[in-house]
Amino acid sequence: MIQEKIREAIIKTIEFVFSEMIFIDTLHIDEKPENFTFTQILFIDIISPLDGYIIAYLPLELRKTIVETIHSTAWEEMHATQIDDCLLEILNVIAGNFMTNFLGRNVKYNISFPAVNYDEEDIENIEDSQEIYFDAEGFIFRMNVLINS
Amino acid sequence: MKYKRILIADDSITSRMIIKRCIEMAGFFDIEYLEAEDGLHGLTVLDTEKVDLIITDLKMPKMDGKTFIRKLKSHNDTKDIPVVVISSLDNTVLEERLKREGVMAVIGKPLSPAKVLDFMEKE
Repeated sequence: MIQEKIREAIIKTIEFVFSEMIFIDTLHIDEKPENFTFTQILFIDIISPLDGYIIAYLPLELRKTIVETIHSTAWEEMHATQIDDCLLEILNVIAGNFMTNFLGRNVKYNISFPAVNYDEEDIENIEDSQEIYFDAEGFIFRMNVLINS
Repeated sequence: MKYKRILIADDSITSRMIIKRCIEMAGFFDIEYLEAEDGLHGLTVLDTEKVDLIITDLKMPKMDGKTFIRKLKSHNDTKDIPVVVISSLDNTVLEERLKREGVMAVIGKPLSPAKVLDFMEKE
């Protein structure tokens, strides 16, 4: 039951945030795609009233598209801190909207500052998280969500 | 136009840029923007600058938005400046509490030009 609720909330959130902020139509994929690779993880903790986390696994080409669309500037012309700031702000908005979709608008919640990681080694219980793939106009990416009940 | 000088307090440079862009897309031009990376920086800016509107995020390092708003509302020079919260922490409990503390509007991210009209045209 809770797994289905998490899945519905993250799908609704991703489709809304990508459409509103990046102007990209995004659909979830039921089957795990072959050869999915990533080089960077965007991570945010859910602090209260539940605990858990949300992770975004975005391939380089999608990261470029997101940052260039939002800043209207070529990727090569932007500083690394500007790029990270943009991607982390997207995750921040995703996390806030996910919590509202998951808990409803009447429940107060708290989330951490988002962060960039480069591997999964430090992430606890990744095997217990829900893994959902998305297709953003040809760019495949993955979201993992864990809520400890 | 009511607001000519706006202070935006948000730790994300991307968020500050999106706010300015949405205000322009909503049809409000010729506004001078002052920017701060958190509440503490915002207070420093307000020590020397006058603004007509303050837009603030809630989750910021050094001084968060709630503390920033409390300090603004407790100081004679800043208590009457309209404050708008634009945050990803968006729920009715928080919204009601912030409005009781004198916040004019609480807007959830992502911001859009339509949402800008909600506070730029508010009396």
